[in-house]
Amino acid sequence: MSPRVLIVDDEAYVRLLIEQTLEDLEDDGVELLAASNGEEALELIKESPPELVFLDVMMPKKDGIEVCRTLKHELGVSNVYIIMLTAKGQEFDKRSAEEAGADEYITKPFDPDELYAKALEVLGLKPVG
Amino acid sequence: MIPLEVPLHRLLRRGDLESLLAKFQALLPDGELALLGTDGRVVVGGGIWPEGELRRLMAQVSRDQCLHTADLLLQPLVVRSQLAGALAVRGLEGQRPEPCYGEQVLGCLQQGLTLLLSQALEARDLGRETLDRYREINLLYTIGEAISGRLDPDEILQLTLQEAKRVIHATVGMVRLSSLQVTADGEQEMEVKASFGDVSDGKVSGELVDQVISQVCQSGRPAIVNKLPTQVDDTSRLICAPLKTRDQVVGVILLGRPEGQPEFAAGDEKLLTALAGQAANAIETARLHQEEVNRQRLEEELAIGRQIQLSLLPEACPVVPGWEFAAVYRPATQVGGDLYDFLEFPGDPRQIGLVIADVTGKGVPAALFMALCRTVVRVNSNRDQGPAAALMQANQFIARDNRPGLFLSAFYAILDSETGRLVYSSAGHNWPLWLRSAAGEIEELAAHGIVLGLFRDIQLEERAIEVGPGDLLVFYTDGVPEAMNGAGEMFGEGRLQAVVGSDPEASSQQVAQAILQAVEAFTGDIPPSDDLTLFVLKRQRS
Repeated sequence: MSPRVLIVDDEAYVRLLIEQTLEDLEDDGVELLAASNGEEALELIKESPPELVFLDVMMPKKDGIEVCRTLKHELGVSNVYIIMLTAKGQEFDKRSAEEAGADEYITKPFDPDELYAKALEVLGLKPVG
Repeated sequence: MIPLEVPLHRLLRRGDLESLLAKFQALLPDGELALLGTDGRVVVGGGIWPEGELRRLMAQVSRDQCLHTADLLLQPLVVRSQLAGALAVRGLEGQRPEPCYGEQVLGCLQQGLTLLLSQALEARDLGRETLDRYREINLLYTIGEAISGRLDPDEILQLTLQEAKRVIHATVGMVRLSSLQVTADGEQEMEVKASFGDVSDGKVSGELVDQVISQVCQSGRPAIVNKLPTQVDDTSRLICAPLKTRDQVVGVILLGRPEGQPEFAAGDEKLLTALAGQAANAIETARLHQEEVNRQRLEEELAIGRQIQLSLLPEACPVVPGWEFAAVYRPATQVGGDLYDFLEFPGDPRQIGLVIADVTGKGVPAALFMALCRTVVRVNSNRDQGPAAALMQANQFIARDNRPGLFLSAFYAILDSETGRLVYSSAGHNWPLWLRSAAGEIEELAAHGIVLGLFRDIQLEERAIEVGPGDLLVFYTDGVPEAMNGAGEMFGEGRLQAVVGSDPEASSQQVAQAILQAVEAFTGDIPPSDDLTLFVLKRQRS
């Protein structure tokens, strides 16, 4: 089965940005999925857990930390690598993110090259060229 | 037919395609459906397909028209007049597929897919553009963060070039900045301030490169040259953006690639221009900061110099029976090196030493030199010798280990306050004025001699006069006659003498103030460029 990456952000343009950033991965058979809120994300993950999730922290209804906690602690989904996306200047409680089970975090505005490299690393793929 | 640049799997999700194809498959019980990429490979579709044949067929697709073989049907998918892929239908058990399925079903699927693809393509274009903008913002953000607060222009340029190299891939690059030097043609010379790759002669230099740089400097706009005639492996693609502060181009940033690499595009130009703008602003800020630092340093130096100078001047004029003294000292905006001093001789209280001097230079060095000279003159005057001998002796000390360019003019007189006899000597100083009350005339206390500190052995003339009752003496520095007005005209000795001679009955205080007022009236609002120092003494009539 092809590896899957889930992008969760309530801002459509951020999803679009990350999808575009990771577009090259699709040539390696990686499937990119997107969700616009925490609940939708949880549904998708329950159905079939992706290898990697980019998870926005600040989202209405269910924020990123809650999604993370539900996944890792309530649903017991352990083999998903979770990268939290936090906005620069936004108050972000690193400790509660760690406790919730986030693997690491990237600050927005993110560097597209860094994001791509991170995805390659987590998926165990080699950079092209 | 030109294939679409973006592969199908990037435009539509595999899952979506699979479920769509499965639905149509249900309508076609006698055949198999697959979606092919532009190269003929199966992107989605079950079963085993004759891939070699599909590839061959795909290469034959020339229009938006079905291709048939004995058991295969290919329906091309065309988006924006480009080939995006094809729907393939295979009849089961070697049957010709078309009659079984009917063109309507297939046409329906083709139309639906084409619509989805063109929508996806539009979304992708939007996404690409957003990503480009985002990269731009991110770059500016990163470079802004990296160079903000940096105050070393070289460091700013180095960081900018590094960032440019990272985002706009190039094999060579450099930043050139206008120097203050001007070439023989009257053009401002440019210095290479940062570089990477081989920027030696012939690589990214030469007449054509200079022409590009010159054009960018003159127009203030970026430029791309993708075909520079050069040797193999040399830089043949060039992109150049101006470092612009307000409306002034202060330099350029230049990147290059060899012919084998992609051409520079409009997006690269935009990024480089934005980077160059950031760098130029940072450099300008650094420059302004440096100016402010220099100004503060100068001000501090000025304050220190002024403090030294003031601490060396007499706090008050001497009180001598039968004589009245007055002094005026008005410092220039910059610390000058004027000095006056009244000396007492413990063994002979009737004698008073009168010193006025002017050291070269300004600021702290002048003030320190002045302190040294004052001490040396004091030490040497405190002996049983005349003014000329004292000054010559002082000169020996000053000239011995003096730095070049530091010297002083000095006038030294010893007054016998009882007899009125004044013995004096001048070391290249302005001759004091002597207003002779009896004759109503003004004379200069002329004595020949050169300044102190230039040569070890000098000869100074010594003369003497008798200062009569009512006579007045004015000692001054060149700040008085050389005070300049707005028209660049000097106050001059003539005006000075006119003020001194205007009222023979005036007190020494009145004369000193009258001179100061006359000079200030003459110069108006022009700030004094030199210290103005003078002292006046008058022998009372009774």
